[in-house]
Amino acid sequence: MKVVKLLTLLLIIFFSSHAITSADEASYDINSPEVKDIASKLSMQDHETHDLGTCATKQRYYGEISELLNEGKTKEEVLDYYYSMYGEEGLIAPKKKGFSLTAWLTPFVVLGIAGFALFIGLKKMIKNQKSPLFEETREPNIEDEITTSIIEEERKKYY
Amino acid sequence: MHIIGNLTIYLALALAIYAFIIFIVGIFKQDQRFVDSGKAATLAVFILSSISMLILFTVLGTSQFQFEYVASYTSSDLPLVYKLAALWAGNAGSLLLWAFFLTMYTVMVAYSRKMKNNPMIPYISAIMLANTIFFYLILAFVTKPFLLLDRVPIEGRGLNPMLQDPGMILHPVTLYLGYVGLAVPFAFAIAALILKSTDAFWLRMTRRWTIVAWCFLTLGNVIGGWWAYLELGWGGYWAWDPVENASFMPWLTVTAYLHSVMIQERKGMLKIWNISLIILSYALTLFGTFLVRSGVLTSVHAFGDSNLGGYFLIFMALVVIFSIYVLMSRYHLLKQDSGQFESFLSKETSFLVNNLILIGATFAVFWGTIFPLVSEAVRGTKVTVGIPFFNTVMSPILLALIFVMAICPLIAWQRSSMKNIKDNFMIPAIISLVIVGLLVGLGMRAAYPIIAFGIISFALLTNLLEFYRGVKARRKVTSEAYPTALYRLMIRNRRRYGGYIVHLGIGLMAIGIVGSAFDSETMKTVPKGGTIEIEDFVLTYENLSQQREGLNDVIFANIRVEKAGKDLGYIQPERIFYGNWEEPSTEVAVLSSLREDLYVVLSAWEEDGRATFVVKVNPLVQWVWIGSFVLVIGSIFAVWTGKYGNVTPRYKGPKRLVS
Repeated sequence: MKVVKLLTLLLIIFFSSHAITSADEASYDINSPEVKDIASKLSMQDHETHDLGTCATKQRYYGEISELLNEGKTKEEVLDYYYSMYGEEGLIAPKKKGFSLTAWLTPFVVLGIAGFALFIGLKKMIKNQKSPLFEETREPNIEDEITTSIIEEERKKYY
Repeated sequence: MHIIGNLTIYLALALAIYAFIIFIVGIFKQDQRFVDSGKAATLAVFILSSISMLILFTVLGTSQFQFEYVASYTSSDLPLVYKLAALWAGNAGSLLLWAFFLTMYTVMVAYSRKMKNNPMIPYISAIMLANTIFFYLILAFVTKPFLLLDRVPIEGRGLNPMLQDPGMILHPVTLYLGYVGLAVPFAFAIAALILKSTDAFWLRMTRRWTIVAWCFLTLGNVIGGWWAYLELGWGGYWAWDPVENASFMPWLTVTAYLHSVMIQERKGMLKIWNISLIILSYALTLFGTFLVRSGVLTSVHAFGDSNLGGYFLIFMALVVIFSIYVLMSRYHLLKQDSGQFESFLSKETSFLVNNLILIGATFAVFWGTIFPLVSEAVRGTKVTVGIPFFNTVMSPILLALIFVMAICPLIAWQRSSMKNIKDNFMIPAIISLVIVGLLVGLGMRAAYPIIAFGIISFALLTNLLEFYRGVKARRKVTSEAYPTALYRLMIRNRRRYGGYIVHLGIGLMAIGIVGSAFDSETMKTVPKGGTIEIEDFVLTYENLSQQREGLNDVIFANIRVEKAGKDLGYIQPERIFYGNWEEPSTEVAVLSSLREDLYVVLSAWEEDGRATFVVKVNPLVQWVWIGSFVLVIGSIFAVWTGKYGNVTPRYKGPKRLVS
């Protein structure tokens, strides 16, 4: 009986402490990092670059996000909520799947192809000259160039 | 005024058409009299455009509301400087400004002493006049600056408060000087192609023009950023807005051009590439104008009531088609490159990589800007492409660019060696690693900024090393004192050291850009005497006051600022209620230091005296402005005239009948 009482007490302490912790965790507001993080992913009907201090639409979004988080929704669920309402236009950047993935990949694919073409072109050009790619050879470096130009200038002055 | 104003527009259009035709007749007939007549007509167009500008300034400054343009963008109580700046607040005025700059540049080229006997003059003038005709057609028939209203209003609509800022005076003018300035190298390039002059002479002739245009473009973008930073609702100093992107793209392509021309000048290579770059740059300026005037994409910069986009699209298409046709018709001449690449490790190759990255960056910005249209066209779904996309895609590309900027100055022409690499890069690399270690030691944990700061410091050090090595080399020969050696070294090599100063400016700007990613923000409602804490700052809200400024009521909060226990004085964020504008504007209070900006916004207030503030701490933002200042200094230094200045060559080629 004593054991049962003890277990019951422990369970009450566990659940009440858990409830207190959950209540603490649930108090999201406009300044919570989670709210800011979610807000930074929404286009907010083109108000995303507006200032929080003066844009009523942006403030409404922050308030809504805080409420949704306080209701126990996760970050993904909040984002899905806005996605279901506004579609992809509701997000500030295209999704990284389906057709929208091309938005993210195309610049790097193009850059990669152009880089590869440049490499091949250069390799061909250098190969045609039958010289090694990284040869230890003459270095018309800055000191030489400047010294040469100074000497040339002095020469022009006196001759 | 109305009659004279309209007359200047129609007469300028007629004379521009006449000059264009007479230049072509002069070219075909090879008769100098026709060319001289064309030059005189070009000068007359410039004088007429100046008169148009003066008339518009006058009617704006004297609040003549019978003019639709004056009534739309000014009001009696507007300070004179903004009444005048309203000239570029709307479509008609801004296009008139564009036409004015275009004719100004045309006259400067046509009458330049350096251009004496240069057979390119009639060609360049005709090409620039073709652009002028387009703008005057718009001004004469589509958007008229001197249109009268049927009923004269007692008062004008006034200028949007957001535009009542020093940025309004400088940003559009500098940006247009940059945009229109690119017409000059474009016209030179096309003229050179038509004349089959495929050597680097036209490049040398246009070097100063291109750098000046680039410098104005830079200034235009930076001043725009600075204005947007202080103007709420414009998304900070850079929001990747479609129109911001539109002015960034030609900046990137011209930067690529300024690097790649060095290879053509030195080795006679990349002729097709260089001409393509300048054509692309000019086409992108027209694309930017199309974006601003068409309203196809959502932008804070767009002119609301504009239907001009279609005209610009057609004109841009004509320019591109004509340019490609001329380029292709001279392809066989251009492909005869004289030089060769000798090694992967050479300055030439690093310039090519620089070009690859810059054009890649241009494509990425272009792609992100038009992707909403692509998505809608392909699958009927609209998407938003905002700041996170551009930051994610552009950060690695621009970091790679800074890395190349670090490598490029220290690598040898033709062929470098491993020893060269080791000698040049060892010390900067070690110091950069130490800096990275210090940042980690100071508690920085985010990988991207650590890498970014490492690369930026490497770039700054390698460019500074160039100054040190130059001074050392000079002292070895002349035994001058260090400051003398540095001074003489720099003024005797203006172009090179101007370029390095520009690189240093870019590096400093990059510090600011990376640093500002660590911003923090809080929004709080506090009673009188209440405090807001953010980072090391403690802000005490003391009271709210009101004052009258002309027709406007200004409400401002007095806030005492302390940082780490040290009193920094008072700041006053404010809200302005205008007598003739519905929406109040919010003026931020900024307390700046090299380390960070404290940025305070008065959001709202209650009857019981409580007030709501948004407080931000933006680290290192000042470095963006300092870097841009250094960058402009560098470009001015590079093109400065004088004994050792970067002299534009005179034409010494075969004498032709017309010039």
